[in-house]
Amino acid sequence: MLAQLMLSIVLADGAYQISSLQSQKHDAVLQQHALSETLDLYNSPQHLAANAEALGMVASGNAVYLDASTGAVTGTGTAAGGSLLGAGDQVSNVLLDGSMIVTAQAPSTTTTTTTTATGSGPTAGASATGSSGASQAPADTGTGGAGQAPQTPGLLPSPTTH
Amino acid sequence: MPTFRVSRRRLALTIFGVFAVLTLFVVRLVDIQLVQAEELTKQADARQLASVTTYGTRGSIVDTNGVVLADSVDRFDITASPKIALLSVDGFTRTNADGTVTKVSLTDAISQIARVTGADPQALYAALTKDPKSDFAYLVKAVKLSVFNKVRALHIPWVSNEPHPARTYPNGAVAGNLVGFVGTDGPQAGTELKQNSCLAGTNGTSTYQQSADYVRLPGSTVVTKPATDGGTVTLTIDSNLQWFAQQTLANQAQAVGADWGTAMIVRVSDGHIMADADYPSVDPNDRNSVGVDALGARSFTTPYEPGSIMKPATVSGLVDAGLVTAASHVDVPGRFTDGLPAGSYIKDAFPHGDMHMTVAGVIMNSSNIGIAELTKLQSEKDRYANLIKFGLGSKTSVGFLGESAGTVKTPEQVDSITTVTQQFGQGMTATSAQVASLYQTIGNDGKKVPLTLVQSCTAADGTVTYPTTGATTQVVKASTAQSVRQMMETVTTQGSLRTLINIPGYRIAAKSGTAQVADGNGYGKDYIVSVAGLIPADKPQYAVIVTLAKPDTIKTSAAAAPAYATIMKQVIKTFRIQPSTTPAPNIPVAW
Repeated sequence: MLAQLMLSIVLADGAYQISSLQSQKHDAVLQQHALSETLDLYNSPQHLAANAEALGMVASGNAVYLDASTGAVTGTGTAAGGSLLGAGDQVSNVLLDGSMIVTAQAPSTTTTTTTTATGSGPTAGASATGSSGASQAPADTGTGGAGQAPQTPGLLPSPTTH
Repeated sequence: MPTFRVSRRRLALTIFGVFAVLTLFVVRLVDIQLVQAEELTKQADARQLASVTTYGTRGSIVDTNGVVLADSVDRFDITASPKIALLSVDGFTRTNADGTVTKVSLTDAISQIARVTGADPQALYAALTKDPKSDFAYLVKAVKLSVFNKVRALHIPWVSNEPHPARTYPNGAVAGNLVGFVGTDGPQAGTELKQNSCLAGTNGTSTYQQSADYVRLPGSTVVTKPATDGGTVTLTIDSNLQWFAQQTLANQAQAVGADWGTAMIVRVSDGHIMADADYPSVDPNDRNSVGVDALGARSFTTPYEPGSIMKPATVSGLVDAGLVTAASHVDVPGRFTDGLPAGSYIKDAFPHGDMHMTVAGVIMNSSNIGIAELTKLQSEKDRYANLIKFGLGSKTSVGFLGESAGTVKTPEQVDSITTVTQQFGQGMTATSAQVASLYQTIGNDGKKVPLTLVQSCTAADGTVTYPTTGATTQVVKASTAQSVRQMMETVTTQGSLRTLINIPGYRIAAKSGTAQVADGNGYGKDYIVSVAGLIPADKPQYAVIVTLAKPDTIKTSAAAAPAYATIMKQVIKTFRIQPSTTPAPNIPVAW
């Protein structure tokens, strides 16, 4: 009798535990859905293009290829292609609003924009975003790429990568 | 003796009484256990059994790289019980996290809900007081999880919620023309509607016994019907390229004042549509952003007279029949009148006297008269059969909603002018998709692979099904297609658009079209202009076709050329197409 009572108590307790865990799982699933929804929005071309241009990035010119085995260079390079959104974003996305666009901070000293920093892709991004990038997800590469490099805006970080 | 009689009577009475009661019990027992059993079990179940609807999630639509184009998301309707809310204006007491207790009045509660949801407090109050006796009213519909959590954190006893599954399109208008959308009554357009059988989930019900505080009793779960999630539809579209094409097309369409435009990128080897841009194009998140006629994909639904962009099809038929080669001589007079009714003539876009063109030159100069002269070499029946073989006059295998088949007139229907003009794309109609399919065929050495927009359907259990698209057909010989591509290369190297469409380092076979638009009263002042190209010309990987309808400022194919070139350059970058290693062959265009 006692054993049966204990068993039934344990079972009932388990039922409450299951119920609570299921509700936790449900909340976690909802949270995951909400986060991936936001991520998909951040991932949209409109958002990426607007942010890239807000940070001063431009489209590349013609592709030039280096054949690693022969060292031969093929293709005709051209100047950078300039702004893609010059005439405004033509592909609407009502889910996006202006608040999602990072604001590029003007360098405090009179140096360099991204165009003069050719050849140092990720570090150029870091110098352009500086501290402003930290709060915005798409700009995180900037802070990541900088590593231990000096964070002074306007100064190109010393190369710590290979 | 009398005593005995009395006691016997009593005994009989008692026994009778006992039996009477027993009978009553038996009758009641039978009544409860057998007669009313069903009804009573039902009542008991209703008190103890909870039947919950489990929702099957509608599947998502993704691009060829898995980028989500359409997704199901959780939204919540905030509901309330006006009856309880209006019980007392003093409201309720809330126990805060730190143990303190605050009084929350009705107006406080309403303004708090309004603050976190952004709703109008007046409207909330109105919703609550509309039917004060009711136990249910909607306060705010379809809020996001973050808002919902804030409402929940207010711990207002009379506020509840309902799940409200919704659909979102994180890329906005990117491929909105193809993806379509879901309305309140279900899928309404595009892939959402066409692929509904793959996407739709089915709701299930879960029945179990619960305790007084709604906890499932151990071991009582009875899932009567499991919910199944919908499948994932994978399109052949590359969303980044699609965005670029839409952006470029829209820029150019606005720059030249075009009414509408389409841009298609097709992978030559398998007919996969990598991008299919429409201008204007719907943002499925906001269906009112464009007019009704722009809710679908014009590239499939709107046939038009394509014009000179059809000439490679006609020349392919002639070359394939062995009637001409690229170098064959054609006498091109200033006007073509042979076989036409008196007073009618066919002319070229530029005035000229008698010219000596090769067949390649007819393509390069886009000479209507040259094509008209060439039609004399082939029977009406064969010329018609050639156009039909290229897929003109029948819908593509995509089977897009509202897709048009275009029109090619049969030898029986055709008149003496149209029999000639439909060989250079006037007097017949085609959709952008059909034109793209034509260039896919020429690019793929004459093998027409059915155009594909839906790559696969992946069911929730992981099984993948591929839509049937029909058979690949060899329309013309490989050598014919190669020869025609070489002729089309002269358009890039020597044609009038060469400065606009040539891309240094790459061999590209191209053709332009400047077609007059019939306005019901003969041909008017409007044109539909287009440029199509195959890259690289010697072994094509991609076909690009840009079409603009009724441009205002430039009324020739030069209106479409800049957008075509920009998109072609992006195709090179996106798919890492290597520069050509051999120069374009120098084939004569005149004699």
